[in-house]
Amino acid sequence: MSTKTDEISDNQPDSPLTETASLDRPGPRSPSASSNRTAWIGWVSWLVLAVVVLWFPFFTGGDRSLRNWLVIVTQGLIWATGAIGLNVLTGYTGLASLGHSFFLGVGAYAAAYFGGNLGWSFLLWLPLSGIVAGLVGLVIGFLTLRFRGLYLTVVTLGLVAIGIHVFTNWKDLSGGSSGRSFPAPAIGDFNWKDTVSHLGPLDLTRDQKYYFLALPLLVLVALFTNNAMRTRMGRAFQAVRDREVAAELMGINAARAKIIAFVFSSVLGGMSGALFASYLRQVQPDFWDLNLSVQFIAMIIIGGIATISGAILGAVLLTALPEIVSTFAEKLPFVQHEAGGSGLTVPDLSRIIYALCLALFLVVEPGGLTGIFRRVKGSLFKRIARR
Amino acid sequence: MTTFLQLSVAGFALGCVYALIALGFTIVLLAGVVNFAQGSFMLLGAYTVSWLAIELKLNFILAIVLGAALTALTGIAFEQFVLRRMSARPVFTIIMITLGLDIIMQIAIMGIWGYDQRPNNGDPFGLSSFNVGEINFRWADIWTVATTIVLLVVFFLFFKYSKFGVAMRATAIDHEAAAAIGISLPQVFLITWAIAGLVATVGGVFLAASPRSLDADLGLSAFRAFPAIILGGLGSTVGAVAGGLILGMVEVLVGGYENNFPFVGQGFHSVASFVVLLLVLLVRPYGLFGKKEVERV
Repeated sequence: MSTKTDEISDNQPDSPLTETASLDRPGPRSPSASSNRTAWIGWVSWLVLAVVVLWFPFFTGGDRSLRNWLVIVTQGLIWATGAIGLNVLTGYTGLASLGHSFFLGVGAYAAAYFGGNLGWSFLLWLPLSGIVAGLVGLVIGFLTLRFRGLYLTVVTLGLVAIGIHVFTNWKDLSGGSSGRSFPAPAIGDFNWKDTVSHLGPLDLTRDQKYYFLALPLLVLVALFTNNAMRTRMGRAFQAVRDREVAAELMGINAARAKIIAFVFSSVLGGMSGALFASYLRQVQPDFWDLNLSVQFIAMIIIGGIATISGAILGAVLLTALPEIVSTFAEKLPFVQHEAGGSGLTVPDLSRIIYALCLALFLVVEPGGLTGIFRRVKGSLFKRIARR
Repeated sequence: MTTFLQLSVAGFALGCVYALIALGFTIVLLAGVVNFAQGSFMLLGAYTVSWLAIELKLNFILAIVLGAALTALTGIAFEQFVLRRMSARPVFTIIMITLGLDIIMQIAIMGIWGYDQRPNNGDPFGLSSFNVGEINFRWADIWTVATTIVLLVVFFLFFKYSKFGVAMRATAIDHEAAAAIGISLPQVFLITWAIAGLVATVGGVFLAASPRSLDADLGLSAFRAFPAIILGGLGSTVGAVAGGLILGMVEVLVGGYENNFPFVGQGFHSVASFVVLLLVLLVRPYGLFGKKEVERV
């Protein structure tokens, strides 16, 4: 018994801590004081996170030199919705797709059509961008049902190529290779155009408005997905990922699970793509290319595969990477400091760092940042609990 | 008819290049690595050859040999230091690692030789050509086809009859069993990457031959050859070659006739290979020559 883990030894009746705790909440498995303490730490850290997240846009929004950080974090939050979508497909269901940027693009152009060409309200075009992408995902999911592994990867690679071709040639929709402008959201009189808007006592810039649009959407999507992955369907996704034949033997309809995963992921991807294009204002069709797909996969791998927090963390970090690199690049000797000079350019350097991170995480820490965080947290909490 | 024959000649030549790319990918796949960095290996080979032949004024053949050696060495180093520890990981992990390598190699190559298009890839043929009847044959195409045929014949003889070829095939079936009967896996990997480096370099040089050009987009062309691997059936060397030939023909023929069909859009030939792949896979989900994978439960 003495060699068992700390968790069990905490609950032993002879522990002095357990007696006091069991007075508060009697039950078959009495929680110990130490677990109360860790729960308390958990609540405090959530509170701190919430305060930081709400304070961030006001800290960075007013200052010109800090505005870049607000822009990239907002972009990261928008991408995070799409990254959660890809995580459902690749992380939870195990379908390795390089085609995510195609669905992002479909969502963006659906938004452009309904919001821009038809001039419908934002409350319609944002859901519609998800729905259209979801319908396309349904068709693609159905068509690719028979492929797995490398076959699926190359087919989805083709999807991206075909997607760019269609986007580029559908000139009424995409504006051809020079791109088109995307609609800005508006609810009633409140709109997300350039001007500063007043909301109660607050004056919000365009970046801050997009931040406070992306944030609630992301929180909703994250909570919804987190819960959905614990339902019957979510467990079915994970069973299909772990062993498809075994899952089918247990009575899971693997084909249905895969198609639903495709739809789920493309709905989120579509909305994310629509918002992102709207934030960028103008996007060319070849924006939705293979690099973007790879970047999304890198997000979920670096953040932590098959975790919601990992997708968010990865999306924000990877989007911020070029900015982080350019902040530090000034001090590095091998980086180009003026245009046309010798050495690496900052975008190249950040791409190298991102590729290295991707490979490094896969080789050394497949759990991603979330995996590292969990380990650190686990050993930290154990130390606190032992005190 | 003349147009058709003319396009077929060019298509066959492009198909040969695709066949080489697909073959390089497939033999590395047989050694257990899904190499999505194939495009960058091609870039590395082609740029090295071009640099050796133009800047250092080396003999073209010698330049190709040296370029292939460098490409092979890069592959071997990558296999040794990174992929060796990844052998038990899922396919997708290896795909992502090689995609990461692809990004790094591409930036490194562009960092060394610059983003500008290189004026010439160092080949001695240029735009010279001759006519048979009404059909124009370009020397670059003739050399592409001839070299590819020689390489393929040598490769398949080697693969089928030589001791090393048998060892490669045994390793492809089961790494552990192959090692157990005394096949040296490091040796097999060495030979595999050497062949892959050679075909990548030759493929890259011919893909960059005039009228096409040598620049960063060459790496993207490798992705266009990827459907060939699947079209023929994964892991089948014959399938890879057949798939490459088919897709090369398709691309050039579609490119020649696409203007008659405006609804397919401009530049349709660049995605034609993927469309063909999708259509074939819908009928035969394991490719033309592939076998259905039997999963042990």
